[in-house]
Amino acid sequence: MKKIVLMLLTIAAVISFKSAKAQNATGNASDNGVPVPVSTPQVSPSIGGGAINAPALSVPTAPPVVALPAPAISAPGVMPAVPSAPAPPPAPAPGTPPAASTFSTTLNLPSVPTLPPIPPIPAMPDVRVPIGSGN
Amino acid sequence: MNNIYIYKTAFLMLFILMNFSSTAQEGHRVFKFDQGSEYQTEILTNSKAVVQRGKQTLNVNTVSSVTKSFTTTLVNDRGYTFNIKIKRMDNEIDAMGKKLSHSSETKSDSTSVILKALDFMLNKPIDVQVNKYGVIQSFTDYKAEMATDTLVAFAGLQPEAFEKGTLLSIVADFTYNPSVKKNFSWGDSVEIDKQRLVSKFWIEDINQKTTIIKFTTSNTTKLLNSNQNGTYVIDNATGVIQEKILYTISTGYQISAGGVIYAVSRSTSVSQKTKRIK
Repeated sequence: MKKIVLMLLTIAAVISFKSAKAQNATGNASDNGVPVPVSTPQVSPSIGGGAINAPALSVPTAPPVVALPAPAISAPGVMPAVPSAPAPPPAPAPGTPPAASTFSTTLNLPSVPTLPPIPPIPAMPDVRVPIGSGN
Repeated sequence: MNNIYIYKTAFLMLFILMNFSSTAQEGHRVFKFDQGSEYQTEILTNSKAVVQRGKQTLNVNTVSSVTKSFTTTLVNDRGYTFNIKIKRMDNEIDAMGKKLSHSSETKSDSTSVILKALDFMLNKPIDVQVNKYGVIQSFTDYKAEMATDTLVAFAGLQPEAFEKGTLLSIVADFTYNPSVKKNFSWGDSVEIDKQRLVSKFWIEDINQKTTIIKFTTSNTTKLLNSNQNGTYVIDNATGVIQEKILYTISTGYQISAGGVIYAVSRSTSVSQKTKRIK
């Protein structure tokens, strides 16, 4: 009898562990219910002094989005607003090594910023707690 | 009597935990793709970048048009295998008044290393395995060789990162639910190794056929900060993202291989449309 109960409890513990893994906030299921902090980007960036002898960098204006041909599924209000320019991070100190490269190349191009990744939509908004709900 | 009570308690616990275990996965969308189906994505990218050191300023303006295909080559109980490749690419690069044009439709015998590298990126298929939730499980190695991150950035191309555990880029983990109304908002925040990505999403419009989700993100890293605003148009029937539109503005620094520090900024607009063609 005790063995049977022990087996049942062991199975229950395994299922409980799997359940815990399914909720472990990895991948796209992160921060369930955590409100987003308010970001405060600054419109006029200023370059940190010291490391480079450069005047304030002008941020180019965002180019227009060129509409693609059909299928025309764009609805009114689809266009996003142009974001404000973020403040740059603190200037790196002279002698800061570049990021380690995993490849060698014969190309010698000016290094312009890589476009940041497009964020995927976090899992199922209807199971999340709306921002400002007091959680 | 005591044993019966223990039995009942154990079975009740088991039932409750099994119920929790099954509901934990219900929040994710299960995707259905047919064997041999092909989705085509057209991406138009418009970018203006400034690289500055001292009084020297380099302006790099680019316009690129890329057509990618996602073909389902294997369907089984575990998920799907997609064969993904760039089928067509047109680029215009204007750096300090010097213009460089590239078209995959026109064979060029140019000795330009940049043109050769852009040509190299065409028709290099990658097999990506996803599970039924659209999450990447594995992928074949992409032999970058000439097509480096530097080239991708210089040509103004949106890099497609295949990373285990992330969603395939053409799908959204979103299921239409009448209880999700316009203006519903939710957020996501990730911080890893001095990199922070804070996103806010909201429902701009929703009906049974399509959902329009807008987002704003703030991405801060050690050398580069970016703000991004965008829109997703999702086909509720399939979960495929029919349209992505986004603006990105980045400012920060780059360090060359020789250790020279440059101030950099970049403004970009991306328009992307995906449709099933087979």
